[in-house]
Amino acid sequence: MFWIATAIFFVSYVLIISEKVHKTKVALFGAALVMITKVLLQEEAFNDIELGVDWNVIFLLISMMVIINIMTKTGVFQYVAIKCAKVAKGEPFRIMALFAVITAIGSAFLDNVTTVLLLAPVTLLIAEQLEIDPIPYLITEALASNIGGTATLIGDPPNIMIASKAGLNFMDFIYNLSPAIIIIFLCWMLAWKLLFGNRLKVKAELKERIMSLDEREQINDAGLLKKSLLVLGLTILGFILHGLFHYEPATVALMGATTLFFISGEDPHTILAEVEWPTIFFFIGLFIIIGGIVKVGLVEDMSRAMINVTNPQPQDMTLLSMVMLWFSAISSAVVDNIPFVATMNPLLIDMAHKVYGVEAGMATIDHIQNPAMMPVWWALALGACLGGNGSPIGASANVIVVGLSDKAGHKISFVQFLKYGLPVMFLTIALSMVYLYLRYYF
Amino acid sequence: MKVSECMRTEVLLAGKDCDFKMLLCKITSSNPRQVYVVDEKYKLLGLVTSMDLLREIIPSYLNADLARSFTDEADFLLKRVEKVKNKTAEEIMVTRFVYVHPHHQLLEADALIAEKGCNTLPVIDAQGRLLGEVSRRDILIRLVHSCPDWGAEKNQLVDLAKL
Repeated sequence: MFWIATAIFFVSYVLIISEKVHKTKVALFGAALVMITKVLLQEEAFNDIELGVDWNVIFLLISMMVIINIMTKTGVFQYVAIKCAKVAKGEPFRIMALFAVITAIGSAFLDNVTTVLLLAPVTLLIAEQLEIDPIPYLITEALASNIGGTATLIGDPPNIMIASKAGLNFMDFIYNLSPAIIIIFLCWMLAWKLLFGNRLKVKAELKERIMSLDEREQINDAGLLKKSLLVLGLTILGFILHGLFHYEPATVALMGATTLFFISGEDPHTILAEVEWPTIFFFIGLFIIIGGIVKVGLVEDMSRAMINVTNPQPQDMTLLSMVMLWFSAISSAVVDNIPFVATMNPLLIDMAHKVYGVEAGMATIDHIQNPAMMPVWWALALGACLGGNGSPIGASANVIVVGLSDKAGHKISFVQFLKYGLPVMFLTIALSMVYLYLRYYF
Repeated sequence: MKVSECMRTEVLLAGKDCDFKMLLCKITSSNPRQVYVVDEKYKLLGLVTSMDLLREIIPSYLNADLARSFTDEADFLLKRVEKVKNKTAEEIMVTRFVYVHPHHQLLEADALIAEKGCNTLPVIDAQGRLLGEVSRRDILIRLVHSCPDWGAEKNQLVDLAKL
């Protein structure tokens, strides 16, 4: 069983990285193999909390996709973007910075891909009106979406997965990651100001073109906008309070999504058809494949190796946190951060059990939420999310931006993206390292 | 009925070096909705439809919602035309297209037009040379003429309403 599960895991991983076969096909086929070979029984794959599908993650993703799908129909994102360009008075760097801010905020509460998909057309339009190269703007937005998405539990799928496995709530992420992201974002913008501040100049008459755009025309349905904002606001409030009332985030999101279904009057067929089902099924397949290697003990072996390298102590896991941060960042720049985090989650849980020991009489949650263990989870989240900036294939938002730019006639080469992304990844990870050290170990 | 009995042989032609402006003038100066890009032996290289020209002018990112924010659209469109005016037919044309041969049944052309949602099909011979075209309208006209009991209606002059 050990070698079957290990082979399925490694072959699936290689196929996902190679992108020769669609990742959803690989994950689902791998999951089917795990079950047909009885590495995991169907009962375990579907219902076991430790080994099977994490339904909390699945329903949180589906529900947030539903809320976003309804909200995007209102035109609010385009309204905000054009308004920001006018507030910036058509000044190119100010527009770049403001677009980065709205992308980061949008991505912290919504899906990263949706945020860049909505902003990219406005960006291309503004760049064309200002007669400037849109590529630095589009790459900046992709980077901002990955940075902003790191700040909250719902901002990026790795955070959703970490929260579910480690039993962390929305406010845990706000307290621990949001300050880091605000600092990182400000430092990055400062670096960007030094880099682009003097390079981006346009004539006054071109700025006038921006000022003549009418942002009010973007709002398609003011009624739906009010309802969507109300539901999104209440859902975020629900996330803030979910720990207090002992609800899982998926319950809060499902309540928000179904409420919006009722009050929006939108057709469920249309809205549900727009849910990214391939992504959802990718998660389902992946959870089962990972469950297989947890059950046969491969994760335990990996955890033992990691312990040997980093030598974590019950009261001090500084080296483990730093290794986890850089290892996650570099891995996520090269491979999809979702399978990476799906693998690291059980590994960290196993490490926590080994470090604190079963004889201590502590419950599982006490192990994985031990104060010394918490920075390791934050290191994983920071590394996995911010590492996505390291290459054009490191995050879905990067892939989308490169594709949209290419379609609009502005090809972004792999190397061109690296020139922006790689320094930003190193800057943000170095700042994360300083943050983790000063906040948890100084 | 065969396609050859229904096809039109007066078509719009262009060489692969024909520029955007010329293509635009050709397509707007007559009824046909597509220009056939051929070589000196009339071998069909590609098609340029009115939609292809429009897609060159309207950028891929500009959806209908975003287009509403313009207060001065004329300036934007002129700038776009200026940007693409030197593009050639070879750069714009579609090279993967559906076609029929003259010996094919007209019903096959009907089905292809309905299935692919295109307006007009080129008719080519076995060597790929352009012989003519058959359009939705040609097929419908043929249909009216082939209905024997529609004598009164088909001879009746249909006036366009002025709104």
